[in-house]
Amino acid sequence: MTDYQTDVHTLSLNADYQATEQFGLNAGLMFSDAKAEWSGLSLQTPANVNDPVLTNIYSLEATNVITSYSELHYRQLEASLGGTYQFTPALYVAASVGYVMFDDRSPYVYGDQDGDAYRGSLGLGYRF
Amino acid sequence: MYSTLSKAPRLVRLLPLLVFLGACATGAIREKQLTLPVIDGATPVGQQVCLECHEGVGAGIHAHLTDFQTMGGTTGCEACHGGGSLHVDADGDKILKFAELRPEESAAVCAKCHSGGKLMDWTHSEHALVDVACTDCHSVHAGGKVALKKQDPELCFDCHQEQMAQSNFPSHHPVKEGKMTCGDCHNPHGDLNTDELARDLCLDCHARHQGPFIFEHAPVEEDCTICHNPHGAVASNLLKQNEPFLCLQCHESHFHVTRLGGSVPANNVAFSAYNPDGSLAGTPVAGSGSPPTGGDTTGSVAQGTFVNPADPPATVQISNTLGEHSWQMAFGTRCTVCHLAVHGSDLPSATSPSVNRTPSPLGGIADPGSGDGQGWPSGGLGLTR
Amino acid sequence: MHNDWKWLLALSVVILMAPLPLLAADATAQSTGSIEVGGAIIDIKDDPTRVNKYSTSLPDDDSGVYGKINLDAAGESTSVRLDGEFHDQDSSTYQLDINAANRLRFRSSHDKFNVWLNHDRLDYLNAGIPSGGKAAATLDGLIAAGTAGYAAQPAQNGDGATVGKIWSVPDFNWLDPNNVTGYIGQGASGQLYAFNPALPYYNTATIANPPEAIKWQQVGRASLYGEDFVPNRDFFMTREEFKNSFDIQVTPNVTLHFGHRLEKREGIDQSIAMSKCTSCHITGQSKRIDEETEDLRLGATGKFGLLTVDYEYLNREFRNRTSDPLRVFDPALAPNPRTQYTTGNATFDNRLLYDYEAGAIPYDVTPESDKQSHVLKARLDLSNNTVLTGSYVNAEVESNKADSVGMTVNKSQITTQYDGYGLRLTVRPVQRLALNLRGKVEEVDTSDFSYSLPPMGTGSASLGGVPDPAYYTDLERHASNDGDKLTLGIDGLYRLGRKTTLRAGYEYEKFDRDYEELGETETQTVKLSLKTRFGKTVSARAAYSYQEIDEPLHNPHGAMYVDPVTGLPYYDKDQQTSGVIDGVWQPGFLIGSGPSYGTDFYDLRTADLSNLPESIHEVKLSSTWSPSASFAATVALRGRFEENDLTSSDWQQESYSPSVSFWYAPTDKLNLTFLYNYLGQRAESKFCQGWYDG
Repeated sequence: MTDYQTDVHTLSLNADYQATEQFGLNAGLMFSDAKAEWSGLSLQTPANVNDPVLTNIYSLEATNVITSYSELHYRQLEASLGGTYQFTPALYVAASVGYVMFDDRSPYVYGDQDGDAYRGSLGLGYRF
Repeated sequence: MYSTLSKAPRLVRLLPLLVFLGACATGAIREKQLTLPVIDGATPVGQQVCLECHEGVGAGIHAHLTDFQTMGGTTGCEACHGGGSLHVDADGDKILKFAELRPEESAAVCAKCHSGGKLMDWTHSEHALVDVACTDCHSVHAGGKVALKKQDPELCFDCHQEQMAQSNFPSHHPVKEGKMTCGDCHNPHGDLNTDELARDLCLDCHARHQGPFIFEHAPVEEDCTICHNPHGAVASNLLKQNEPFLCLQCHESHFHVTRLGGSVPANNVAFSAYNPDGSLAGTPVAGSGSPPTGGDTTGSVAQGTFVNPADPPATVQISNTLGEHSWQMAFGTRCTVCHLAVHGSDLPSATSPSVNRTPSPLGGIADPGSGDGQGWPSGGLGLTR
Repeated sequence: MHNDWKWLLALSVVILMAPLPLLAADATAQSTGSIEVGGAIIDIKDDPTRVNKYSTSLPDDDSGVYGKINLDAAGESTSVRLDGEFHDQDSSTYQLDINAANRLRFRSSHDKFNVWLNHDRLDYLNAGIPSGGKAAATLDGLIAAGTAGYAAQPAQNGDGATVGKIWSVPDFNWLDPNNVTGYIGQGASGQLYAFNPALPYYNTATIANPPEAIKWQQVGRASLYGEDFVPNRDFFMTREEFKNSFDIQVTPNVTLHFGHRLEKREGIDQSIAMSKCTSCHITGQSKRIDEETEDLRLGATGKFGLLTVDYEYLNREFRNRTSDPLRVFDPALAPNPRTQYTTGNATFDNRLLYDYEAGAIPYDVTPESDKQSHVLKARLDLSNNTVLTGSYVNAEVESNKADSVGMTVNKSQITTQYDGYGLRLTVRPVQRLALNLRGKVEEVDTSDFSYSLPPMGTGSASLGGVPDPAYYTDLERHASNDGDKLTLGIDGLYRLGRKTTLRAGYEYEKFDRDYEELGETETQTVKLSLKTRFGKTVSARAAYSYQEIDEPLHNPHGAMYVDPVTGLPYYDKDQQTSGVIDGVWQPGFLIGSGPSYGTDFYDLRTADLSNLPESIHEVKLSSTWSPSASFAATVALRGRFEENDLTSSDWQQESYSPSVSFWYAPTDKLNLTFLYNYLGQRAESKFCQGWYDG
């Protein structure tokens, strides 16, 4: 028998704050740690096998290493902060910044997929 | 025309009459026949009376229903809240308040009108069976998109928190990015958004896997969720577990996994139709007839040419750079790198079920691909291109 | 229609302008909305594939303008709602909903975004063992020099010409991944030999010590390697969907529905192909994605007193606009020491369907399909909250098929037909109890289809002999999902008190597959749940469900053979002696009759494998505490235990998922939400390792 273990921790926090009539803020944070591991593979070559090919250029024990090739471990962080300021009841400015981190701690066949993204936006709005 | 109509079955000829009667009396019939919560003795007073105290309450679509739409039934506030006569007299009491109704009572009121489309199966829905009321999700007096209290998916995530977490898993459908909603797949008033088998829901968008294919993979045809978790997964492509473990729960591990790799170059073993830069090896010549075209013409691989079979292909020196465990890496990392058409294909594997097929005295079981009990396994099937 | 979306853009403009005259005509209309324009910037470090997987704004390092519009207008008879966002040409969205007196309703939406796709680097594919040719000199050194009396002897062919060397060896311990001969053998006397010629023809009489016949075991000349021809290419796809629906209330009780959906996927994806039987040669190229799904829906809803009837017709066309990727497959060779690619040499061309000589042939092809379905549903509402619904669904999917290199087919189309008949009843025998009864019969039927897989070489020079057409002609295609499914269920919801409900349910499902190899699955499900409130501040729900599945979908005889004589998990032919074992005649084998490999091994597999359970226990617990109007906290736990015990295999999986969340609004200006969730899942599976030389 062999085991496959998945462990994922997800944490999310969001806040909306209307500081004044003109000024509102919203913030979000998400963190996750996701692991998926295969383990517990322990094959042994049977004794008394009279096959020189199998016993000399094949190895069941060697197979046990394959569990380490498909391990996955990712960490993600997403943070955002946005705000709106109301100049008049109709005219407002909106701004937001965001950061996303993807940490590939155990790269699979796709190579190291580590990445960081920084986002920002600034806009002018009109309500009617 | 007259002749055609006269030959039509009697029921068809009665259809216009049925429509007319239905149009005029459906609302009235439903109010009379269905078992609805009522305030005994209350009679309608008209919406204008309600608005004298409850000004501005009815901003949504329900406030603007006309006789045309209620088909002879009650209109205005009293269509849902029942007659208001006693309420007017009782100073705020004696009226149907949805917060105080049992879920099945409020659903019965809503079903006076909402009995078609996706709401047809409400009484059998999982939500109804766990005692969820219409008003738990809908704010009937508000306007907005189907009068939801919050938008999908935020509304759904209030209760389905595990699914909210899964929407943040490394592999997920673009729900949190706002490109999908829960309602795209789920009918909150019924089951899934399909009346066929569950996989047909997935095929609405993933039509490339529709097939039917000549060479199938049985679990793909059975249910996509055998391998995929649509709510989110750690492994790419929403796979429930990463390869190769996922595959090895149903399949034997490849025999080459157990090979030992050499530490010296293997020297001679491989031939390739391609040079290392992806260009065709040997002498490209125009094929007979129309040369094949297509593929990614933006890639570096020259397409649209045949290769002269008389011209030897490239020789590839296998260098064994990955050492002793090179075979374990190659065959123990990702099955679908070779078994690439795992969702089905119309093109066969390179292997023919043609040799080693002589009847064996060993007996054995029928090979699913061949229909008999002997022979080269899965010829044409296992590595469809 | 083909590849031309310009008319859709024009239609979009018309649609977006449509609300204006409608609103102008409604004097009572009140509208609110907003327009926002601005600039956005994104800066991505390292790999964008995962950190910006679904790029809702800019796909990569870039900056640009964005625009948002929101309009909500409502009058006595007309309402218009419009939401739109534009980020760049590959990411935009809008939704429009126009309602004119509920008699005419028009909904339109458009959505477009990018998806980054993975790029398999193929750098884990490079494995080989030396052929016999390489090891000849090594063998001279290892055997002849190191072991007196075991010098190599010349091997002669029938004409007396020397074609190679044969070594008499004391044992095979010298054999390792760096010293591989083409053949190893055993004589009738038990003497062991190694053979490393260019050609496997030899005259046994020339072997002096002793002159005996030898049975040889070929050692595979195996290798595998991967090549990524486009290592620097990014793979991505743009998904675009344009949906429109139109409802017209032709009479108060009859509404006609029209719907149109167009989905397009365009981009570049990795396209992997594999040659085999020179070596396993995996190549990574790229291919264009250009797929289009077009749905047309027509339907009607009619309400006739207590009867509601719904009908919908769907026509779907899935088209693949891209050209098929092509590949020249490598020459078919046999894994023997002879490596010259000439048609005169024996190769595996008697067991392969195509190779180099076929030229560039298509692979990784996405077939097109057409689908039509009819859904008819009726609901009858009766007094005492009795509801009866019936449904009939008919769907047909067609996909064209054609001969391809290596295969001929007997039909030009495969059709799958689905028919479903459903009946549901809700009754309330007493006020506290609601009973739901349901039944459904479904039939899936795929047209018969067969194909032939003629090998490319039928000459006698092929290794293994001349193929017999009986084994590759008119092979039957088995549709795995054909069959009849029956579902029967009953659910009850009993109100124990004003704040407490008990739900109990049972369902029986049977799927009788036409393809007997995959069996017949019977599923029985029991559900129980209790929902209640404690006082005014605490609510709680507990649910338990149990499923028993007889013969879940599994891979029959998918793995494993345990030798009945040795008890070893492989077919040790060398250990066998002739005779009847477990009622089956087993021949004896010497080493020379072949390795423990091949068709015998596959045919003798005994284990059924599946990741689908035979039993499932699931528990869900949740409770919400809401002591005030500004605070609510919820704890939840889901536990699931699944297992199967199939023939010669077993499998189990445990999942636990606790959650904690709260909502807190300390003032009317501040709103906080928090969620923590853990998912722990452990699957335990039989691991079956094939162990043989090939």
